[in-house]
Amino acid sequence: MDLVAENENEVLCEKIINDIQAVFLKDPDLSTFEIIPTILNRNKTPVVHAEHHLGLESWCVKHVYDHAHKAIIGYRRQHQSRYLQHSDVLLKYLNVALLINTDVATFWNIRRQMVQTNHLKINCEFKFSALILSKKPKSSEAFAYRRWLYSFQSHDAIDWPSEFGICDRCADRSANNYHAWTHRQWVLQNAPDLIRSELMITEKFMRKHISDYSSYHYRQTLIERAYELCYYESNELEHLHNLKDLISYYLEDDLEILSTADVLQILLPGVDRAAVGEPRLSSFLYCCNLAAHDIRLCDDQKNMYGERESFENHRRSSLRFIVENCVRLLLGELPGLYLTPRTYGQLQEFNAALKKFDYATNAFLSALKRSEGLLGDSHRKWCTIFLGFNYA
Amino acid sequence: MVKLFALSIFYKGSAEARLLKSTYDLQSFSFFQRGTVQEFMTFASKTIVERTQPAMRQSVKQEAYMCHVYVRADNLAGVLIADHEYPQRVAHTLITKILDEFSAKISADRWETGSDGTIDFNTLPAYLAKYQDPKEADALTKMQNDLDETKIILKNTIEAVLERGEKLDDMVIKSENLSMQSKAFYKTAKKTNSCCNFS
Repeated sequence: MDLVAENENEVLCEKIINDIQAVFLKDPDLSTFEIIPTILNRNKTPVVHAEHHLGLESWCVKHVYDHAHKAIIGYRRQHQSRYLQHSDVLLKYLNVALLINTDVATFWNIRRQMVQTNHLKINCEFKFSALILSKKPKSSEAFAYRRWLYSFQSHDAIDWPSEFGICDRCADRSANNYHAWTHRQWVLQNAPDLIRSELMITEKFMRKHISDYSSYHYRQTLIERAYELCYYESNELEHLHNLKDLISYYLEDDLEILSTADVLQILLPGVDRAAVGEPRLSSFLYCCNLAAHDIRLCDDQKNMYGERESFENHRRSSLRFIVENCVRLLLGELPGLYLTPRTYGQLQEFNAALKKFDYATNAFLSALKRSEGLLGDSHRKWCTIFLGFNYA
Repeated sequence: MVKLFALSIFYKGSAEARLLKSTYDLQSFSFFQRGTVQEFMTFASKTIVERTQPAMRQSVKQEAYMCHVYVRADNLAGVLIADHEYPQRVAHTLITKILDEFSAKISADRWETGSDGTIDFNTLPAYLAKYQDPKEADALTKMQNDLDETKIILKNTIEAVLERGEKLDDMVIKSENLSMQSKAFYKTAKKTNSCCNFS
């Protein structure tokens, strides 16, 4: 009796898996997959397909996954190393198993082997992993798989903006999605010419997801990266409104007309301009202006929405960017001058230099130090530890 | 997240609230959930309007959502469903504005019998889209400082709005406006205590 029931169950699962595979073959442009919560088997197919969206009713999920899992492992046992030759059959089980349970490294690795042996097309795999991300935007396996796939593609042929688009969707659908933002950092490393659009997109994102610090963190790495690459926009350099406002705020002085040269003179008095080089100085001003913009953004958001940890942390980080990079250029002798410290040794060396720096010699920095010191004890403590301010 | 999901106008009759006009922005929900989500938002809006006294403002929190309600003294009511991070003041200003506009355009004698199909008032979608960014919208509304925020009553769950003896579970089961699928969704979601994540 049990045997009959089990057999029936298997036939049913097999049918459902075939139905899903049929949808895959029929519609190469599937955009999302999801499991639809239902309680009862209403005696019709649980596979729903509409407008490039695929749904699977929840009652069958457990059985179907069990069945697919058994089938894949069974094939591997039975055919040893030659199991990839059955790729057509294997694929339908792999698709279903990963759609239901996305983070099984074994299944992803079988797909990798299939790609390497030309049993699977790379283009289809990009689509499949994107579909997985529509179901689980935090799937680190799917992101890793995409990065692996890109290693086979010629750099120029890759559509980086569309990869950013996938990161957008994943981050938008799931809060604190560091998987998506980390993947985005990787894309940015490969496509540094998209810095400008990234600056706009991240600000928009931060304005909508006000408490989601993952986007703020990405923005910090973005600005650091821009500075590392010596990036600037020359038309911005004529204005630098945010930076000028910030300077006036700290110096408590309505400095009406500030030329770019004046700003440099205030931030970096006595710096050897020729030794540092014009492009680096331009990038310094541009990036500090961005940081000043973010400080203002955080203050505005705080007025609108009230206190949030993300506003406070991002404000601190922006402040730190300005102070650290002023000190770096003023000292002019640190290793990896324009790079954020990467190793622990570098970081310690840098922190020691910050501590030793005499802020009293710089009118702007000492005004900043005084002003920030008024913002409460915990902020003072933070300034002491991270900026090397000494409030005696 | 700062987001608006639904904006609707009701007439609070003596027996039940009557939906006059509504609009939704449900793109952030997955495709097969949208129908269900819309039904629940309408259900929640109607339920709360029926339990709000005339000339009263309420903001009711339910999980990550906030349901802002204003029933005017003349029984015209507006409901805005937003994310809980959306500024409350802006939400209520929007409702006031919409109701003013509605009552100026549609005469009061049509409220009691009107419905979505018969009432010609099509500005809701535009407002919902514009107010997604409260900063942009707020600049316009800052002048109207007549809104006294302290008069908005805050409730922490829908249950807190219900009358004595009422239970949300029973109301969901009994409701004629929710489909079988939505009721199933409610049960499953409640059971797993998460929206619809199998993993």
